[in-house]
Amino acid sequence: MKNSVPELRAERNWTQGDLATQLRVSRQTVNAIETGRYDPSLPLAFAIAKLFRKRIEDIFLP
Amino acid sequence: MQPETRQALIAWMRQFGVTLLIYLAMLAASLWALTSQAAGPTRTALVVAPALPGLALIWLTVRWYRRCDEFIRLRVLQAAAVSAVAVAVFELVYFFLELLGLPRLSSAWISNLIWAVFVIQMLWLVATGK
Repeated sequence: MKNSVPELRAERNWTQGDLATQLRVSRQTVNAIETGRYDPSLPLAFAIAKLFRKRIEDIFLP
Repeated sequence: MQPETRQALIAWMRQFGVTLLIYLAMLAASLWALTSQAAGPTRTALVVAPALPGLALIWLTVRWYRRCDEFIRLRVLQAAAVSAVAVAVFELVYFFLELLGLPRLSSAWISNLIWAVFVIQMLWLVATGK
């Protein structure tokens, strides 16, 4: 699944570690999501959307 | 990998290593009791004693697993699956090699082998998860 997490994160000048800390996950998890190697669970996708103040469908594209 | 996650993984490996050493020491005591002690309550206690650190290994792993985030949990489950399949293949191949005359392996080695393959994968996770 494609997503715009790298772009949204870059807009805020956050590192993967910064984002991981705010989401309470590992940096490896953020990296896996950004590179499309892992599709997050629905609760984590909601947490990402809430953090970026976007809708899930605006961040994650099929 | 987040420093806390990495530290948790390294802490688990350290605790696992110490408990594994205790297990091996008790296993040696168990084998000694089995071969050189007369039947009785002391011998029985010594022979089953390795089960305690064995259970501790499982408990340590479950406790650490529950502290992992969802992606790391997936990696751990994949490692467990790979361990099971790798050992099953080894077991199957070795069964036929036994028919050809190789020494019979105790079933205790299967458990040790599964843990070894699993720990190697966790070491790989630490090494590649910076």
